[in-house]
Amino acid sequence: MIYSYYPGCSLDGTAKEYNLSLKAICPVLGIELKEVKDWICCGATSAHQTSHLLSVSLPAKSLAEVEKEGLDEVVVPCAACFQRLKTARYELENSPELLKDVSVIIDYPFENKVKVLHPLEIFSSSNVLELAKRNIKKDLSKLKVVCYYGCLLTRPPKVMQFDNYEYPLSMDEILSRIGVTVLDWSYKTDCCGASLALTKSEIVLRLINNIFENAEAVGADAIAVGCTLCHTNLDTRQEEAKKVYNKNYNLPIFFFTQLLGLAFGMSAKELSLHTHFVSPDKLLSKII
Amino acid sequence: MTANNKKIGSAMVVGGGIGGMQAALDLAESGIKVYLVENKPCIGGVMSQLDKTFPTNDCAMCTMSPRLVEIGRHKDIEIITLSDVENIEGEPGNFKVTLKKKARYIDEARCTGCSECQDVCPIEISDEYNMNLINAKAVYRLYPQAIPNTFAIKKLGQAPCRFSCPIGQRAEGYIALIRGKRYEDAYRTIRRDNPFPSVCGRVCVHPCEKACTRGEVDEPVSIMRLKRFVADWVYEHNPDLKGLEEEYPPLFSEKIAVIGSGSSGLTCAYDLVKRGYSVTVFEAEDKAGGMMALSIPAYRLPKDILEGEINLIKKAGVKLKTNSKVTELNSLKADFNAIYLAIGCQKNQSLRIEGEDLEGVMPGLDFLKEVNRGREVKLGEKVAVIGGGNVAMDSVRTALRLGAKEAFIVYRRSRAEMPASEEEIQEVEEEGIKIHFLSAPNRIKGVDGKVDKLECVKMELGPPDDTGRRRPIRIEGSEFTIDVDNVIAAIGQVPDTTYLKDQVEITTFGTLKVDSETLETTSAGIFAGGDVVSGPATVVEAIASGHKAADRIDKFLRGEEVKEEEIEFTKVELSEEEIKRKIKSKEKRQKPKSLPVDKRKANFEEVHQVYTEEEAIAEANRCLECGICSECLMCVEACKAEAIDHSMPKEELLELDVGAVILAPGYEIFDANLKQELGYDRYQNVITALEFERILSASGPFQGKILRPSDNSHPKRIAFIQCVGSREVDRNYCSSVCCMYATKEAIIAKEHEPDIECTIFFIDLRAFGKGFDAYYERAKELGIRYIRCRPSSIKEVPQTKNLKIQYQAEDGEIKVEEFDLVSLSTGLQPPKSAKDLSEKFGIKLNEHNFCYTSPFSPVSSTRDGIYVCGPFTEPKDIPESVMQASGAASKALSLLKDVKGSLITPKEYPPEIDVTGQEPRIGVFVCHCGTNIAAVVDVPSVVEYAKTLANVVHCEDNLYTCSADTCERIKQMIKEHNLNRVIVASCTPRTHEPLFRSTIQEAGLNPYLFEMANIRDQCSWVHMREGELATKKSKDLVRMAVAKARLLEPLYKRKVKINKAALVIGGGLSGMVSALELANQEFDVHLIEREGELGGNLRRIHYLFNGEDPQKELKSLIEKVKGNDKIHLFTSAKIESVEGFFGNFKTRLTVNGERLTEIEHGVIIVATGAKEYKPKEYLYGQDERIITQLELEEKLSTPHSVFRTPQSVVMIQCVGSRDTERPYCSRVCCSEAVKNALKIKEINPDTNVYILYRDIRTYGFRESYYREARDKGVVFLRYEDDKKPEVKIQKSEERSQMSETTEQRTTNNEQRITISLTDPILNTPISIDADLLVLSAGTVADEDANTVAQLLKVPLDQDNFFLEAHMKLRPIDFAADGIFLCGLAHASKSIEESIIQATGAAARASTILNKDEVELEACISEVVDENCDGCAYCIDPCPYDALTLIEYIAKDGTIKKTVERDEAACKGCGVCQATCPKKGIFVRGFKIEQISAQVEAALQPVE
Repeated sequence: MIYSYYPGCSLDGTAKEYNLSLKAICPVLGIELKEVKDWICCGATSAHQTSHLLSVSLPAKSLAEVEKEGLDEVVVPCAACFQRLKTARYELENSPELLKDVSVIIDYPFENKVKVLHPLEIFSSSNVLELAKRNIKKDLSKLKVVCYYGCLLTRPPKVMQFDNYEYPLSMDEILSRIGVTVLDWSYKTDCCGASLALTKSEIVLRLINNIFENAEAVGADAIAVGCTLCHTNLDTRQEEAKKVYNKNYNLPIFFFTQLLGLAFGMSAKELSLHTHFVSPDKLLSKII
Repeated sequence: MTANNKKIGSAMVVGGGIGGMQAALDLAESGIKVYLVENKPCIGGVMSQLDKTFPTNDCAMCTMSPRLVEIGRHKDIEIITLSDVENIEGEPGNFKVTLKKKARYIDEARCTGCSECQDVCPIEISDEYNMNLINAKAVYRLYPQAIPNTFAIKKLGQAPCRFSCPIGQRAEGYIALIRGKRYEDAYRTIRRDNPFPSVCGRVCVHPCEKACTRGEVDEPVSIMRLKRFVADWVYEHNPDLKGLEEEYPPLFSEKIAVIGSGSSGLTCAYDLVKRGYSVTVFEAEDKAGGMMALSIPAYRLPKDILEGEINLIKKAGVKLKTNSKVTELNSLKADFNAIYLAIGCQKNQSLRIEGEDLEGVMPGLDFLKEVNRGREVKLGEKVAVIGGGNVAMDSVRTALRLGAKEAFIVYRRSRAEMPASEEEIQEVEEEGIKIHFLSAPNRIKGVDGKVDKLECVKMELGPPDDTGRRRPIRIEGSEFTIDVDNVIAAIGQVPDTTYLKDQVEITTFGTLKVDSETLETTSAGIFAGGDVVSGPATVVEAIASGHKAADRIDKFLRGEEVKEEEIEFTKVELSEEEIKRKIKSKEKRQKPKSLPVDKRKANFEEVHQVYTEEEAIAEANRCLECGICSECLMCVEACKAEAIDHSMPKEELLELDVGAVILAPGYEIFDANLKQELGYDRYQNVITALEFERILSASGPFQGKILRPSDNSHPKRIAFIQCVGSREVDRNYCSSVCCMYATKEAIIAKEHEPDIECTIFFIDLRAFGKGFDAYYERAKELGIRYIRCRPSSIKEVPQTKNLKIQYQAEDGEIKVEEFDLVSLSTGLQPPKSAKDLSEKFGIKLNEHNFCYTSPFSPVSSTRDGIYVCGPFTEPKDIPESVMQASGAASKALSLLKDVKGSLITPKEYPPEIDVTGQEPRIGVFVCHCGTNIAAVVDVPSVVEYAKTLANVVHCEDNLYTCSADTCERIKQMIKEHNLNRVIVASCTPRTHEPLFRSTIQEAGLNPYLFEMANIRDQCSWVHMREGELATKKSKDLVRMAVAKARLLEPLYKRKVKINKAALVIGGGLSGMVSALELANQEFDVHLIEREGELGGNLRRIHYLFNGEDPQKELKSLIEKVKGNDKIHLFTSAKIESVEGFFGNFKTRLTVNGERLTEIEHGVIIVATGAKEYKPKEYLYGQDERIITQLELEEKLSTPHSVFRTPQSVVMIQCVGSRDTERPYCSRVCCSEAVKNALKIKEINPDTNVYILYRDIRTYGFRESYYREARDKGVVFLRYEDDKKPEVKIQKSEERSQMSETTEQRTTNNEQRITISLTDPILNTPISIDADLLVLSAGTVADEDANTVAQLLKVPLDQDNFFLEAHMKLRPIDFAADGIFLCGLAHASKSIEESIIQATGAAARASTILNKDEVELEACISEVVDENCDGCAYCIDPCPYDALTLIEYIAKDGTIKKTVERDEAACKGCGVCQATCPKKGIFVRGFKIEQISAQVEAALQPVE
């Protein structure tokens, strides 16, 4: 299966390991990723704060590139990009006038045909799950994780149409299928504070502390995520949160793609596990 | 009308909830035969699960239980349970309905409800009635008061294990019994199908485990090893099998010979002995057991085990002759009536290769036989075994144990094709035995006539052959040789039947030819089965053949035909989800301890040990109980009434002819799982409201203690979350009842444990029913906290399992609070069957998938003759359902008016025996109630004791006195012993007295010559551990009953003729509807209206939500009323007086002030209405721009009215409602405001409309209009009760737009109306200028209500509305018989609701009018005039106003005061008797002498 691939900026920077691990596991799962030629910024938070038209045109430009390449599905791992691309598609679908305007702006007769997919959506198809199961090389059953989806993947439900928006299960299902012990908890879709990390970090610390507390209380050793910003907040701010709230947890934050890679027997290096702030080495040496 | 479409005097009511029950009763009481169809095993619906009911806090079960009993006993109501409608054909008046009835597996006519089956049933399933909070049994009764009061069995079919077993072993059953540590019962369950539990527990090939559903989760349940555990346990603990095995005495003279003592032969012999035949088994070998004894090595099946089980068969009476080879059958025929040949397959197949005759080459079976016979078999060092079956495995392992240095297998295919069982192969591998796969022997080379080398050839696998396995193909040139000392050829066996060839026909394969059905060979009377017919098979298959043979031989000897009459097995296949739900234990398959490999060599010790008890139970817990009922038949053994029948067909179709159908299928509770953010099912302490009802209930899972599920601790902080599954985009309606039930649950919880803190999170508190607001206020006074916020999610604290809820407080602050328990107020959804019913009946559903009805025909579906009621049409509370049910009944009664009474069964009794002057001759019947009484009370000694009492001429004990045959016996005994008094000492008169009364009446005795002693509830139940004392008390109770019985007198019910006319008071919508309904049923109706015109309040309603024009309806209604010659209309009329009682009222009227003659009638319907409150507040009356909603409606519907186009409209809700003077909610004003707001928006979308409210109470489907209003920009602003809006009229600088466009300027039009209020969310004052201020004025009782109440002697409530007999179950009746209530006179309500109640009132009235006469209660009070001195003490306490003080002139001329009793009003409660100091009044059947005699008997010393 060939998909167009839109990595977005963070997968080239803060979430490099997401990019690496995703690219490493895709061949095992029979998936070929073809990076969008000339993809541009999705606009993320700033564009839709500034101009509605801009916030739709930026993703439309990248989606038009996919159309040009003749592919009709694009994989977008970053939750923010995913949300922006999906929102643009949704809005264009519901407004022919907007589509007309945007086509003028991007100077291309845009058809808005490209389906925007998150890796979780592709991986939870039964074929891929079957392949994943067949390729298990390492027993991860001693690894206890909670799956953290964050807010952007599922909301707004009308636009995102993702899994079950209040209580998503796709990551849980994928990880339990590869043998990880997945625990139930209460903070799957709570906010991590997102970009407030830069402006009001105390809010982020409070929110992530709630998340860590519950994850630890249900017995998790680690948290699996599918969003770059969630990863950044949970991973890089953990030390700080511990200090502020006088806590002692030590919860490595994995991209779910890294855990798939581990199960498939890939090395820590291949999956870039060493680039995390909270080192998973101790945990992994205990359970694998 | 032609014969084909003749109307039928019966109706079907679908749904046995509270609505269905009411409809059934109304119909049956009016002469229509009713089929009450319910898909559960009993009627009662959801109400039976409720704890208390709001707003009276009455116990739900106590209120409905008498009604259940009434229906259960009604002669014209037939309850059909476990049934669904399959199809309907025909037309109104004549439908043919097909029902699909699921098997109950218990004969309702025989079952006495004693519950002994339930006690022995091993299968536990979650108890649906108790919302799965605890477990129930597979044989169950939803609740003890259930009607029909019989048990039912939940069975999905046969579990895959049983289904796949050749003998249908009830594995699920014995496994469940293991869980209950009932090993002997488990043993009996196994042995029912299998005479070799221990053998099969060791060596069975267990196809069951391959089929086991658990295998889909992890590994199959170790069914075989559990069987062995049971057998070994029993043989160890009860070696003589006391109580488990017995000798069967012969019943028949016929003798049977069985040839061959293998598993087939012995099974057949054993079965035939059990059936009463003499059986002799002939065995050629010196040991019995066939292949079990000779082919299976001892390390798998120890010899003593087999011998033990064969001995049991001998013990049962089978004669066994060993060393007796039978070759000649004819001579046997002389001594035996039938012969069964089960001689097995004894001959080895040869390898057909060179060198097979060399010394050291042995056939496998011969080899094993020799070893098993205990003979010495010499082997060399290297032994090759050829073959891949079990004989090969046994041979190679035996060789190893005999000391071979190297034993190995040569097999021509790969491992996957090996026919041996997987465990066997694994053990072979475990023991280090090499298997040469894909190798076939080519020849055996010898030296000096002895084996030396085995030459093999390599094979490869080709395409599959006819066995389905891939065919091996030689690879030419791949020969190789192995050094060997012995070659054992184990490639299969064939029958050795040549010696029989002239006696019976033999097939080309050497097997015996038999008829596949009868198993008879070609020679009459000679049967054959097992391996000799089938070729080599398994032990369990041989046992199956033995069973079949025994059955066929029995039939042959009894001359019965062989029919395929076996129960049809249905394999249960569970869905993935069901499997998940059924997993009780997550443990992996238990591995028994086994002998270490190095200890297995050179001995024949059994390899595997038996499970320990702990392991066995752990393994048993892994069973998923696929079929639910396991058919272990424990219940059949326990049922003394012989009511259980597992062979009932799973489903049957019933066809019924009915004239009309009423659909009352109820509702479904919203599946809280769909709101995953609330964590239901994930967080143990998040429960649904109905679960909380069960927790609160004294009959619930915790006996009324409030415990939370996670740890059974007492929760101290309980949160209720409202609107779960209601008032949202997908379910755009309000469920109407949740606010109140949550309030009730909170109140009851606090009553149980006052220190519980209850918090209700709500959006609007919808307390819109009668008395609801007062209830809500009371809840607040009790400290129940109401927080106006809908929490978005619930989080669990993993350590404590407490729940955290984040919400916004009134002051805007975001708070997080922790609770111990959260109850979700789940809404009402259409019943699951709605879509199905809609398709089958061809009726329309509405946009919410409830049944569609229209406002002016709210009880009719879109198909004629099909009527509907209850939450099927809209979410609603109990009284609304009951009203609508009566309404539906009324419609059916109109349709079937000509055929009423045509199908009901008159009950006739023989002429009564005159017992006056006779010496009492008392018969006493003492009941065992199965073991309910007899297990505690010594029943025979009670009987002996009763016999000693004076006047007792007959006494006996019965297993179940209430069973049909015992009732017949009672009648017989009455005749035989000339009994004139009967006593039953059994259970409670509440349920059983009417049955026994009717029984003695059938024998000619007056029914009141009966007395009951409750020795079950009052003796065996309450003193269950003190048998002796309970027996003594039983004797006391019987003695007391006898003492009273001596004094019993015949009593008679007086009959009153019914005047078949009705009086309807009030000519508004309700009165007219009631009158027309009754007129349609051909009754005369006198309709009285005080005004000159009909129509009442409806004259002021001009449009409805759905656009319908009520004025058009009103016009047509008035025409119908005026045009109906059965309706006698009196306008401008007033009632002067009402006399008489139900059945015979006399009413005097004045019309236009002139006196009229009296009207005589049998019933009264009160439909006097109510009116809109005339506001005193908000400057009403001071400005014509300040109007009420009804006034607005009038103006909006007047063309060109200036009021149609205001710029800004403000509406204020709750004007004259919910205040101190009128504390009730007027129910309709919120909807009225929304309706008018939408109208304004429709006329001019730009008009600003503001609705100032306290709670928006758009209940039911009205909610969608509320949403629509919001969508259209109507602004809803809330105000607090203590901060009411303020209205000012101020000089305006500008003219309002309205006045500019208006010619008729008012004097005030330069002044603006300003409304100011404080917005509680923003906590800021707001002021709005309005062109129009509309006051939502409430509904107030009519000023004449009091006069009417006094005339009719019926009560009013505190708000001057009429008070119904019971808030929930009798919302149309008054406590006084024959007077009914409907419309606004009862409480404020919508048009639709008024029509429902009015239609219902007609049905209620009809139950009386349809009878020619009515029987009055016999046990009522009676005044003893000579004792009564008119002190009148009794008059006030009488709850029924049945007593009046009167004076009359006595014979001696003096004025005598006395009390008169109204015989129709008296209910015989006895309060008067208790208050009378002069013995001046008593209740029949409870005379002071009778009670004294009982008391004296109680005090009498007993030796």
